[in-house]
Amino acid sequence: MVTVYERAFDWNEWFVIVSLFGLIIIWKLPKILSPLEGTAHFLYGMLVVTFYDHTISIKPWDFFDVNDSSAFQFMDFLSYITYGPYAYIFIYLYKKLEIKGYKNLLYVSAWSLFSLLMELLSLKAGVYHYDKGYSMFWSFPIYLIAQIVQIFFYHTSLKLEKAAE
Amino acid sequence: MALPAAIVITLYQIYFFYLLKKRLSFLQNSIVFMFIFILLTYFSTIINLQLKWLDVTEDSLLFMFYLLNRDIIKPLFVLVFINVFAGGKTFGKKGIIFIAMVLSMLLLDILSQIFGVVTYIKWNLFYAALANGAFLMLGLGLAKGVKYLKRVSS
Repeated sequence: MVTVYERAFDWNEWFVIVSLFGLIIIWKLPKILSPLEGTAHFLYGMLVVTFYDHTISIKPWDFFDVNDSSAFQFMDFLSYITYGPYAYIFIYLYKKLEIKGYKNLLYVSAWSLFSLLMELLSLKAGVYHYDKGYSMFWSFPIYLIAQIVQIFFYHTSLKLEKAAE
Repeated sequence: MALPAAIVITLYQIYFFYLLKKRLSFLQNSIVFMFIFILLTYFSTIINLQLKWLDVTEDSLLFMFYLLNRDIIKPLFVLVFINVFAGGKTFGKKGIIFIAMVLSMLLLDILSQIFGVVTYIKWNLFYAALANGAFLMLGLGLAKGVKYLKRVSS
């Protein structure tokens, strides 16, 4: 059965639309990532959120809902696109700030906390509905895993692309 | 038996892809994989939850079969296809590769039905074959796209 939380065009829709400005930010940033790298990391952000939302927010687990109803809507798709710029900027700053060694721990921790804060804002705006028992405490390890894997992906791609040339 | 079967298929496929002579680079293959992964996930959700053309199991263990099939096995089939297809010299060989891949993906759909992972309501194996073929063709289009990105990058 489809659960409808609301039908109005309000905070959750505006939150998603404002978040889409991230696309303009990455368009305007100096290009220190190649188009291949940039596309891959952008898609990685979308992949992670798509995987989690379409795995733990559907039956048999069904822990939470996204946007106005439990059905898959166009606004849900737009909200997934907003994760692309996050992943892009994450690796952009990683490269620009030349994060190495133990600074990695600080970097992924800071980003995981920032992601948690953004999730809290999106929860308040009604993008997510955790009425079915999901707790934000689970999100922190999920962000950590996603970001550590992204850093591994970045280094592996650098190594293999260089070897292929 | 469903989950061990899915794990075995996944492992063999990952290993096969690892050994395969790849025509695309790591980043190019990654982009195609992620694109197909995302589209396949939306497609699966839409035909299941929105259109209700098929019903997915609510058994947690069987659901793992569904996840492995949706998130690893099928996107990897597309990757294997585009890398092998590029090596096909003649139109006939390329056609055989395409048909073999559609049938292999269809076998997974048949297994999903046999194990009770999915139950078809307004869906059938013909539609499944069409969808599999469409994803393979999309993979070819994406392969061209990433080749262009590579040219722009270098």
